[in-house]
Amino acid sequence: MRRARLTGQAAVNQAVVDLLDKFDYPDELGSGSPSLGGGGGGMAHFLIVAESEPQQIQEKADYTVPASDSAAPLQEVFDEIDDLMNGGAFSIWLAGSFELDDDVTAPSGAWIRGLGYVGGGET
Amino acid sequence: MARFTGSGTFTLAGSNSRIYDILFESSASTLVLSGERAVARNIHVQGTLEVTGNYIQIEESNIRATTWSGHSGGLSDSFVVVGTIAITGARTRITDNVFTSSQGLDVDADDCVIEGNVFYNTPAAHDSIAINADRVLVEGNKFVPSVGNTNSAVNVETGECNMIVGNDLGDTDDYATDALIDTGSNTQLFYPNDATYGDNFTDCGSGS
Repeated sequence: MRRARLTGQAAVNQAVVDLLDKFDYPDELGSGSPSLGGGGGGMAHFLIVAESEPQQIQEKADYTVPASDSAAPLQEVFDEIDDLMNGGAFSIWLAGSFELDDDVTAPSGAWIRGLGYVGGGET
Repeated sequence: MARFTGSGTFTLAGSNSRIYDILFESSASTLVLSGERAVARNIHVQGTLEVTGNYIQIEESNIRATTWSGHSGGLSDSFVVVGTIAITGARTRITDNVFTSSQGLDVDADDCVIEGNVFYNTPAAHDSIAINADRVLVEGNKFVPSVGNTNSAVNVETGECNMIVGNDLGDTDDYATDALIDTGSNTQLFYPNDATYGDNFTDCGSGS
């Protein structure tokens, strides 16, 4: 099919679209895998969401953890991240409410950052 | 701010770690900061905070009972309620905090700096600051005693060459004991002209 001739801004727009098409951009960057840092050496980020949070929030997570008896599953995730990062610097974002029914040790060098939890009100 | 419930211990062990915006809701919970050069900001610890690593900084937080054995760390711009802070790590800086109904500050390590804090309503039978150490600087703090209950504002129990300067003790008649007590040696004192330091302050030593 013959393409209609474009002029001016429309031509520029089409050129950009054609250029982007040459790259195989995935529809969902990072979907189903930890959000390892890109952009040339940025800090890696992991999102852990408790199952106390709405499904829409859980779907964004790299890992989900039960809100009750959270210690063992949370420690398992921490250990997995620790093995993956091998002592590097990285952020772990936590969303939700976690029950520490036992002791937990964060991965070495982690920056632990809380995001919030549903139904908790102001703290 | 994410929330931890339950009575377990959460340990931040690695060097250069950070912990931000976390609520430890249970009074039975414990947060341990054991890695060197860790930073904690906007943490609410309703249970116990244990600082065992060196060079640890805690900022803009709300804490209760705290033991602090790492050296060269600092607590600033925070709110301390109910519990006490017991310092056994040298060169710790406690600056610009508010202690409300807290059992005060026990300084058992040398060369610490206690500056710019408010000690409000320290409860019965507790000193706002008790010192068993050398060369501690206590400067520019404001004390509001619980009338008839708070022991002293500053009690230098043991140690030498401690410096207690420029603090506002409030009404010294409100203390259950003397506002200042010194059984150390060579304690150095200086107060503005309009301040007072109780009736029975004795033996301020050669440096006063």
